[in-house]
Amino acid sequence: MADKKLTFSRWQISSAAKTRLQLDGPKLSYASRPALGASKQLWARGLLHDTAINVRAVEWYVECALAGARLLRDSVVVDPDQRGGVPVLTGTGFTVSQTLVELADSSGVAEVADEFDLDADVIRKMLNGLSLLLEKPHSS
Amino acid sequence: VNTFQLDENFDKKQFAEQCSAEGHCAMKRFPSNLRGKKDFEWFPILLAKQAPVLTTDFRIALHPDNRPAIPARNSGIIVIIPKKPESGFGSKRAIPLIANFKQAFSEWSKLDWSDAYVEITDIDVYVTSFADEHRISGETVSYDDKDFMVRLIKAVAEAQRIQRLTAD
Repeated sequence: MADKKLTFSRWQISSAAKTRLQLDGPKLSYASRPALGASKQLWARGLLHDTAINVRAVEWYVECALAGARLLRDSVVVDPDQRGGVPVLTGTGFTVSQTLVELADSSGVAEVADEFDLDADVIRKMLNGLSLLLEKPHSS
Repeated sequence: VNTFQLDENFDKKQFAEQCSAEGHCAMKRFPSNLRGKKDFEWFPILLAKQAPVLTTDFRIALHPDNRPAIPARNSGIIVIIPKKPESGFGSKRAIPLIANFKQAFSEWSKLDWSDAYVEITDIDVYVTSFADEHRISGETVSYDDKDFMVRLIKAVAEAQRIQRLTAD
């Protein structure tokens, strides 16, 4: 519950909403509170439902971004003195962009690693890192 | 037989083997001891040799910090690049462009490419000298040109003349 309160305060949910959330906790059991009228129950359910999803989703996106950044830190280097600053795989001068297009045109990581003498684990880390960084909605 | 040097970004084993097997040239793979080195570290080493560097990365010779690392007299750089970036451009698309060029220019393996900067695209070939820092003052020779071979040889000779004047 303490965690929940902290999370809510981050998202500046109104006091009334916080009270409702604290009353019911994460179980979203408004249906068991007959004291609320039908319309209020619906409103409360909607608020709780959306808020719960958003908070969880934002936490998820942040965790994905952190994990993705860690993987990319271990697999990608951006150095102005290498390929003019275009991102390359760690320990090589082989660009990430080139890696992606070679992967698109191949049967997979093993083939690209073999053909270009690259470390397959580094390629996989880079792909997993990018995957995690792209794991969030982007507004159009 | 002329020798060509693959850049690390185009250092495909199968391609190197196939080219060498055809017998018209020797295709050297990127030296393992230079892998991951900074541009200004490997440029003076590979470009000081006789083998023109074959790459798909046109930026390597454009970057201002890289220009001083290019020897005044050098092996030459040949860039394989599509005219327009309509799709990802990897070795699978670069190799047909090279084949197309070889077919259009039968003298490719005998010509001296040193001191010239060349871009081979899907529709033409662009040639300039390294003295042309922004690579905008060169000559474009279209595959459709009926004197394609003659014009290309002249363009390379002119680029070499300008570069060698600058070097001397």
